[in-house]
Amino acid sequence: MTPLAVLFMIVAVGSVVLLAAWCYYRVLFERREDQAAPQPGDGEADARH
Amino acid sequence: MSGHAPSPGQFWATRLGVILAVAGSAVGLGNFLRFPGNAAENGGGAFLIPYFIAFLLLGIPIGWAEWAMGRYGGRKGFHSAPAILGLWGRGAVARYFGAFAVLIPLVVYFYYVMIESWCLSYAWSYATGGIGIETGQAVAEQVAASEAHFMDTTGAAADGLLTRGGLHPSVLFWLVAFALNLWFLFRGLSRGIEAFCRWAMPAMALCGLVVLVRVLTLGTPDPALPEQNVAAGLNFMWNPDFAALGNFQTWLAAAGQIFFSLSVGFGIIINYASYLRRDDDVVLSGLTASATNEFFEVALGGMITLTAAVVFLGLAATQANIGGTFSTGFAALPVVFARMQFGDFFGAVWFFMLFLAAITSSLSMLQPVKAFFEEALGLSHRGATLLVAALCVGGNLFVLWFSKGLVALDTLDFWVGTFMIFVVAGTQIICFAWVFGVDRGLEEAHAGARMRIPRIFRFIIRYVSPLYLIVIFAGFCWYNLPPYVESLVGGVVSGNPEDRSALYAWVVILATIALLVAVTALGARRWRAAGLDIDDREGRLPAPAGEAQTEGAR
Repeated sequence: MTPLAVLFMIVAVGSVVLLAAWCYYRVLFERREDQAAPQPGDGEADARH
Repeated sequence: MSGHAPSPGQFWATRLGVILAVAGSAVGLGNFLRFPGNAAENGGGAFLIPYFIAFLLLGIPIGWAEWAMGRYGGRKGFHSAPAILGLWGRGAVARYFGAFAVLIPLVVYFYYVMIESWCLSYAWSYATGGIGIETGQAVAEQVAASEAHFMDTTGAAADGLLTRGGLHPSVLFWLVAFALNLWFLFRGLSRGIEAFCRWAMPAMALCGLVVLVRVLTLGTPDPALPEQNVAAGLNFMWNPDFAALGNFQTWLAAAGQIFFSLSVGFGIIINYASYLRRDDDVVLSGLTASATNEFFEVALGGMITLTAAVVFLGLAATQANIGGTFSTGFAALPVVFARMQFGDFFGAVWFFMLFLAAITSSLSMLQPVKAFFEEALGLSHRGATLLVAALCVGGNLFVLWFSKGLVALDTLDFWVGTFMIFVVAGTQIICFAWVFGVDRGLEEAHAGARMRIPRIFRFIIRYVSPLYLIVIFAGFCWYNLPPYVESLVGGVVSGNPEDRSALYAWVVILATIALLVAVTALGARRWRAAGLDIDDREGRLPAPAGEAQTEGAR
């Protein structure tokens, strides 16, 4: 395996893994905040349907 | 007031649920089978340069636009693409273009559930003793045996083959796949699709990681063939050929891969996002769903498929079999599992993972169609589900009968599953950036957002994405249209009925378009009669001072 192949593999795979990890960290972290504070507008949306 | 009968589970239960549902829609067979072949044929590691550029300039911006459009439509009481595009495009033209965003999931489902049933069939075969490839044979003979099994499973040898001589196993697997789809659709959005995706996506990741660990620990399984090892497989996939970057087709393949992989322009995200609450985030959620798709595609698809193929088949046989999704997935990989220790187990895990990838995608095709019939015709949840099921049975039987050479399937896939997607994506980005206005569109996207869209994307969404899309569409037509037009013309002039599958497929497409346009017209009349603001006239008025402050405070 050439050094360039290793480099491209690590950068590409590392990028998508880091991006996904960062996104899920924020989604899961902020979900806990949401649970603590109900969102304004939820009641209105529910009532509409 | 929505003006149509409410369905059970009209909102997503959790933010994670909608993200996994959208990601499940995006992750499909193409992530594991099409991406690695595309990369290896177009510069290896260098392919990732145009691939990530297309991700930033095309996939992410159009995805964000779709999420924002869908949530805005849901706030106005609409869940179908024709109604939502009518709002964003402010009139009948965009509304009728929106009918194509229902056509795509419906017609793609006609053949996609068949491919899904093949995955289930293969998973079952591996779980119960393999698909009958002799381990002692040479690679070429094994590939031939694998291809013969594929022909038998798909009925590709002749039209109507699967419906002759009693119940063919493939018909049984289609019935199982169809029933599962219908069951989850009938259970509703949060109890059906969301609940299933919350289980299926982690299960798919687990299956993928199990196979990945197995592939990366293969070493050099045959000491007599030292060149067939894991490092050589990874090198084949990732070694960059920078000369490929000078070839327009490399850029076309990369943009096409991103475009189709992320499910933008399918009419699915716009429908799914319409079930969000008004202050639910769309920016981080859209990015997370896209990132999930990229994880499955690059980190799993890019590491597993070709590496395993090179280790067991060698470079020459791998290169000969990476031309298409079916040849990679259903001809080459079964040979890999036949040569692998505990291959039946890993084959079952692999094809079960592909089945999960397929069913999370096929489910997402049914919901937009059901929502359209509900709100355009005023049908109940049960009535719309039954109508969708009846249409899909008809479409599936068409693909099942005209199975020779998979021409009918391929024709539907090209014209609807590929060509039309450019049309819908183009309509969406033009409505978002030019008709509704990019500033209002981004303001709408930022409502409730947990992260800001970087300022540069205002310019990208307004100018770069549409231009990129036009160039890619022109290149796609230039390279791909001629053979499909020829096969259609050939079907018209040929005296042999068996050569007319492409023509019959076009009849199916045109009949479906006629139906959807008629239902769109009925729906528009119905929505107007109910006093709904179907052309977004209220949105054109300046916002009251208090509301403007609230928007600004967000």
